[in-house]
Amino acid sequence: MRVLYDMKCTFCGNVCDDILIQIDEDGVSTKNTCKLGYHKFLDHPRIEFPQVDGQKVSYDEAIETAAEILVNSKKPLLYGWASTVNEAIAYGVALAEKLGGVYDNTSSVCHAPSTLATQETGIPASTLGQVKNRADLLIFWGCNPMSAHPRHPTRYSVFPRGFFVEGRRKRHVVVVDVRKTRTANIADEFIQIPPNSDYHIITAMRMILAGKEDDLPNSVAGVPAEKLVSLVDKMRNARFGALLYGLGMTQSRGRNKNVENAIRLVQELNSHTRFVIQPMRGHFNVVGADQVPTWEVGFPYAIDFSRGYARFSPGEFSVTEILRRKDCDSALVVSSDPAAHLPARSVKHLADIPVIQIDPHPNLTTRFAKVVIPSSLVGIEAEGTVYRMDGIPMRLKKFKESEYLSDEEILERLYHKVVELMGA
Amino acid sequence: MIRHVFIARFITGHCISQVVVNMGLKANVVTGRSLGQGSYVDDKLSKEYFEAVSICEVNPEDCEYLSIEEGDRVKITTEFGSVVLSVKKNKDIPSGVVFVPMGPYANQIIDPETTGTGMPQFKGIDATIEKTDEKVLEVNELIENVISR
Amino acid sequence: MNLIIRNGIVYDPQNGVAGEKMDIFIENGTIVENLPKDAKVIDASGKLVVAGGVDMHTHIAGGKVNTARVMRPEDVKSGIRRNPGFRAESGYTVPNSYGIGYRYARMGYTTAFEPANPPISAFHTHEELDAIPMIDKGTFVLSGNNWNVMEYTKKGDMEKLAAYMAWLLNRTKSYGIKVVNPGGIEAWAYGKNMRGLDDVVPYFEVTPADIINSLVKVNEELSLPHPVHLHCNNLGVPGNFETTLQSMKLVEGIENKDRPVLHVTHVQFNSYAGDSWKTFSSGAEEIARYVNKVDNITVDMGQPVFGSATTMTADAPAQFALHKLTKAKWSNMDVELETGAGILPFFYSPKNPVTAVQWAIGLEIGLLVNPGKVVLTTDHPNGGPFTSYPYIAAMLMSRKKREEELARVHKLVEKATSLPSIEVELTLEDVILMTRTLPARLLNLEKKGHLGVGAEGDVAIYDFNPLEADPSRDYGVVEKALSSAEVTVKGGEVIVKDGNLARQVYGKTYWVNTYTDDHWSLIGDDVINLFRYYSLEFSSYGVEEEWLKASHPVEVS
Repeated sequence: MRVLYDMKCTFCGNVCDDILIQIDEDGVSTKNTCKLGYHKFLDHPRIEFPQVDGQKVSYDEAIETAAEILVNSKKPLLYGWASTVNEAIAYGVALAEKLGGVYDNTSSVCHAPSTLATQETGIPASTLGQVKNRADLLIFWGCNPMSAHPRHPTRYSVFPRGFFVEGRRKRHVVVVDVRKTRTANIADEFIQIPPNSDYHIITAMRMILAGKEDDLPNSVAGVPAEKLVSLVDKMRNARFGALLYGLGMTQSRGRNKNVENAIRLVQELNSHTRFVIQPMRGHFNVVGADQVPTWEVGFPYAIDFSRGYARFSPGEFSVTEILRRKDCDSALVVSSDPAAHLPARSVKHLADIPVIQIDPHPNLTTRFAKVVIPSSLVGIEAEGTVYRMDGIPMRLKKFKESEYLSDEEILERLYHKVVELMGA
Repeated sequence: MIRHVFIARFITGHCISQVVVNMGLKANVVTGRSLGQGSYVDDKLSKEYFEAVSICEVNPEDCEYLSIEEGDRVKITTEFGSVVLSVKKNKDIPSGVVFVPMGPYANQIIDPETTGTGMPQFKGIDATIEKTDEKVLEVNELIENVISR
Repeated sequence: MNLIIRNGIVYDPQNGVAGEKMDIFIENGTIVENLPKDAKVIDASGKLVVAGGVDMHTHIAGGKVNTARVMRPEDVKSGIRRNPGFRAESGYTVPNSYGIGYRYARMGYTTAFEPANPPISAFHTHEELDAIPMIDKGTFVLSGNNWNVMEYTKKGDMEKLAAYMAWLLNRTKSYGIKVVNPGGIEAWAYGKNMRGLDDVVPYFEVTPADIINSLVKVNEELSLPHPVHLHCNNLGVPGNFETTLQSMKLVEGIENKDRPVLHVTHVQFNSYAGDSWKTFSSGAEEIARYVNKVDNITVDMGQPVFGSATTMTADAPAQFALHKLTKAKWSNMDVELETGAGILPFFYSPKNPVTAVQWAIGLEIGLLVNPGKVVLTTDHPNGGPFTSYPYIAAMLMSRKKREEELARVHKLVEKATSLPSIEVELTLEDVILMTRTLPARLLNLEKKGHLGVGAEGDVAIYDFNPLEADPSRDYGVVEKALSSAEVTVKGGEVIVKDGNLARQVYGKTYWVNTYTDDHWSLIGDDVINLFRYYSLEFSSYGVEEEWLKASHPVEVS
């Protein structure tokens, strides 16, 4: 029997790094995981071999066919990236630049509005340990870590014993959401707001902070003004506050404007006390999928290279828009399942063009992909670097041998094949 | 009349309007991650994944109004499409809101328009919810429908 | 490939060469005495030949640089350049990694050090350093607000502090110790700052002076190659030159025969007199006088250049103050137990009295401090991009150029600084000293910054004849030539030819390896104990050597 300590979980943006893995004849068992992590380490169906048009081929043949499709496309879309390692992403960005295609990652249907907001305002944030050690006020806004980042409350925010904050009893926890989530059940206070009302409520809170509460109506978007006054008072009087927000802000009406407003609220709070704001990033390396292209070419997502250099425009080059407008003629999908997670209208075009998919598991996109290339599981069968939701780099180890190539190896080969076909 | 109590709670002049219609109920759809969805996301062709994402969570009072029980089917229709889902009662969902786990089912009815941001509106979509006898499509059938559109 | 660089006009201050017509031989990447076999000849007749430039303080990699790119798409868009056969460039003040490498190479620079490496995200810094082509690299580890450092300082346990620093340099693969606003960033976690060297850091009960003293002591104890690299308290505050002088005086009497013991960085930002923005004026003369008087301190300029800049520093409280002042968009990152960061765009306008005076103060520093003690920097991109170095060099060498510039700046410069009356004109040799010899010496990189036998084959050839062109008069010609090297050679490879990229290479990453197991036995328990308060496991912390693209550990005896 083999016991491995401090292994890292590759499900959500927490990237918990205290997972205990036990390997014996019966297989792999884990300790310290949440329910999501528990399932992550179980055996799931695998894509058994590389395929072209449903026929079994070798890796080399699959990669060659993929390269030919990409090279012969006018504008390939290279999408996914949030569930693989930085080393693979770097090849993806280089490929997109070489091909004159488009690079986009899954943040474009996740926290991309946070990026748009950051472009307008910047973002005052902290690492998770700062929240753990100091935050005596936590506000979870439009996020539900108990379901989406289950160990966030225990490891980083609500429950842990911090250096300056002794633990749960010393923290005041508020949940703001449209429904009473599982996270609301562990909070001290739940403020229910109607869908699509975030912008209005944050605006009211900024008014209150600016001393203009008398100008407010009795209720804002159905929430009594005095409730908001009391919340803002708590924020102002916290020693160190953290506003942790999720897709409730980025995916409802207002999107980036909701986030921008929340960031400004937090920036203004820093004239009174210390306050930080942090997006609850979803996939275990969605941050890397933003960060790698940013240093490689300057932008995080929705990048078009058709002019030979990087252009950023989410209204044109995000996966949803580019598919909706039928503006790409092939797609390379890496570690993602757009057929399951994009609006139906965008999925339709994806099914109409040649798709190359690199993924360990069969999924809905595999169903119509022309080229399917199985890859090993990062953090289990393959190594590499990922960034936690707060940008802390984490190096994944592998603990199982695999007959599959890693994303990095596949993309490296694909890159060289494309260079070979196109010439330097 | 009970409906109006809830309307009053959410009267805002700008966000949702909640009106009783003949056949069904006007509601607001919110999609998002659930534990079940996340647990089986690497196994999308499994029964568990299907059971985790082909449902909607509805407030018990709204269920009563629609005369539906846990496990019954409803059809949710928005400007952008419709989908048949099994019902789960959840008292933590406010009346007038319906929660659908993210995934292929939710994506039949969300607003694909991104208003230049690249982000479709996955949350807060006006919808009509009504009882139906139609069956819930399997994941495969659902995708086949999209592709062959 | 072996090279002969023939008939160039060579300036090599370290070896006492100033304007001599010479041949330079490179064999297997190193400068040699005798004509190598099978060498390619580069004709440098009538052209300036110098060692590759060395930038010892430039923010080119890591979380804060990437955050700046994310929050400044307007900057990223402004520096677009296609490079057929190479990667594209973007950005003006925050270029992409390729842009950084290519621009340094085109400017004749072959080495650059990132001065702010937050330990917990050290691998991010290294991933970006590894992505930068063309140049050799290194980074300094942020230490002035680290809890372990403050604890050992409080206890006065220098042995353990030395052991801890040896471990930290090793874990983060860093080359030197960086101190930013000692104690002030820790205080910022609860919204405070350090206003003087004797202020007391909340909870830790040490002062900025204590922290500087103990790290300087340990830096000597460990015989590290680089002096303590200090960003003083009170950065950007009128009247701060006194804090800077007091900080410098802390190292009185501490000597090291090989190098200074303290490097005060981007000193322009810490050379302000006056007591408010209304009475804002220059304290550069006092700073220069002190630096010239002692022989254990060096500085770099941190020269502002007019136009767009991106300010980024671990000095998070200073950045919040700037945000309040300018209302510009602002990012902050509190880094648990260690440090912080603040980022915001800035604009140096010649018509704005404060920014014009800042510009003048930088030049005063460059002109008044002995050229052997001041390095030419912009604190890229805080004062502006590193691509402005030729402009700065031209101003240092030409009073006429300065007068031209002075004619367009706010007249407060005349009242608040001595720049208009400074007659000093640095020589080309001085500028080579400030951009090659001195920074290489401060980094203790013996094979860098000169062209003597045994040096690395890093050479820049600029298309002007220094024996004919007079930088004082022909500053336009000189500035243009320095902006774009005709040829840049890195480790014996021609990487720039005719001003264009010729070949993409990747340089090495220097770091100091002085750590031993004995160090761990002293501090292991303390380090592990404190990890309860980190948000990651001890085993996730740090950077392994094999993760680096081209690791180059430097052993210290």
